[in-house]
Amino acid sequence: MLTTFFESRSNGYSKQRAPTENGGLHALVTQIRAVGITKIFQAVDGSEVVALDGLDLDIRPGEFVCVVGPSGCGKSTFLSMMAGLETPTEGTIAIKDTVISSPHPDVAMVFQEHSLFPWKTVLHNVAVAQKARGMPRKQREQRAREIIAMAGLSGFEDKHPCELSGGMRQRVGIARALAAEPEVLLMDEPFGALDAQTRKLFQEELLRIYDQFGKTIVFVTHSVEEAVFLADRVVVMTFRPGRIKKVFDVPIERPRTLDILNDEIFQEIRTEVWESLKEEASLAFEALGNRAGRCK
Amino acid sequence: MNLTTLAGSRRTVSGNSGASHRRIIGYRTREFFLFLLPIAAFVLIWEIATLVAKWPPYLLPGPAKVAETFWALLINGDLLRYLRDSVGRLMLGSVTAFFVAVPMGYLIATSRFADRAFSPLIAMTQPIPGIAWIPLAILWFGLGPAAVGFIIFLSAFFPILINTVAGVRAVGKDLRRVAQVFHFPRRMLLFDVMLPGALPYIVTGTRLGFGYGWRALVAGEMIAASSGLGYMIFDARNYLKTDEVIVGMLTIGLFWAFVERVALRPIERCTVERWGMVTSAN
Repeated sequence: MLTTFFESRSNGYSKQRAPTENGGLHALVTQIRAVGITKIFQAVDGSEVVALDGLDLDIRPGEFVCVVGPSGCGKSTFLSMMAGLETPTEGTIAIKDTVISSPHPDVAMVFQEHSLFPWKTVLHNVAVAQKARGMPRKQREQRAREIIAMAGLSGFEDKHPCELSGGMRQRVGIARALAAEPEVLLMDEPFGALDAQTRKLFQEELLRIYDQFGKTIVFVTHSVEEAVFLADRVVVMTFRPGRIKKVFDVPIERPRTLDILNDEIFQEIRTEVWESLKEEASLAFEALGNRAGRCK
Repeated sequence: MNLTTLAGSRRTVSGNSGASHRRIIGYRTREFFLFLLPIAAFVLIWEIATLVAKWPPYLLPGPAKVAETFWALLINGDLLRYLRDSVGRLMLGSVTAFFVAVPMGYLIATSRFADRAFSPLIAMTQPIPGIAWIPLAILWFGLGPAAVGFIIFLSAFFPILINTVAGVRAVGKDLRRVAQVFHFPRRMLLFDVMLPGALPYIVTGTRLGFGYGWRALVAGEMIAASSGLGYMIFDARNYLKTDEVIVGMLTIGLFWAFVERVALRPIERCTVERWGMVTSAN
């Protein structure tokens, strides 16, 4: 089932892969452009917390970018801004040259687990985006069925999410986002709740989708290995205030399989990224790791 | 893995189909007795007590006498007519309460302005028991179904309202974000996200509300009606027909237990529970 995910897909999606060299900023259209993103939160005691501080990032069409950083660096906040769910205190985010203040129709998001509608069947969960666009019932269910089949969920169309395993739920989450036919896919630690082995298989599957559909993907994760395995570029963020510390190119050829985890170049990049992240992670650990929990 | 094989092999050793069949029947029988035994014991103690103490029947008639009266009232149609009148008033008051409370609860939960505007009023009105409204209800609506309906309305209204507010507020932020990202139109946000998300609470509120309405109904009918189960109890007391009083009480209890089991529980089972959402106890 895993290996057939999206393999049979050959429709009009063209791949616009940008070169990984960082030379052609002016020559290429940017898919997402973040300029001077700053976010300031009001803490409980009234003090101001600078969550993000002056982030600049350009993402090219068809690029796969992973954002890694310690807990509390604001990487999820940054992703929510690209989704149009949160607004920066300062700075702007543009999708294809349009500065956004609310969700952009060409952007879909895969959420952390449990963001499926428990009262909707798999079929209706996958069809929500098209329903929201007013596509007639027959048509949108037809489309949803196609995507469900490609996601290896055939036979589960009429199940409710509570009847599925964690992995299958996340599969539905991805299928739902793809059914919206977005240009940009934002993923907020989508595999965080999966066990280590399942997670690896999902990563491979995601790459297959990526190679097939050529979407622009921004993927937030804790895991350095995951980031290097998936991405064209890995963005390392600092701990509070969140800034971009360093951007690593991952010049490993695609299609990639799990075999590359043993390659020297993969391990080299992973070590470099981890070296960069380590400092921030220990800062976060000192700041948050031994702080008492707070009940809501 | 080991455990499964162990259990599996044990089944093949000790259990043929007859044994497991018998075990299921055993379970059912036990459940049935657990259901019946306390009731039987209660009736038995009641019977013995009345036999031994020899109270006059207007103080406490024995179960046999009550059963006889129950049967007689059932046959002559009085009981069913009273039940019909009571249920009619309950539906009038509670269903109206439902259709007012749910939209209002939604409004309060989603609009800060509505919350501020209504909350003090609700906080003040809610503690007043439905029965306290009886004098006003009679002045406004006269003796009759409208007055009783009004009291039921007030009793059923608040549990439904408060649970709807809590339910709408409990709809996860992540689900609302999903709705935003995929550009749900207003109608879809309401019917595909907020209302189903709030449903566990709305169902609980409705069960509570109808239950409170049912209790208030009896009180209301004692004073402001000339039919119904409450009236029956009150009227029977005037003639010292204690057996009829008890029949009325039993009918009130039995009927509601029946409604819970046959109507309200299944609604929960085929929606909220099927979706794996949290429900209230029992």
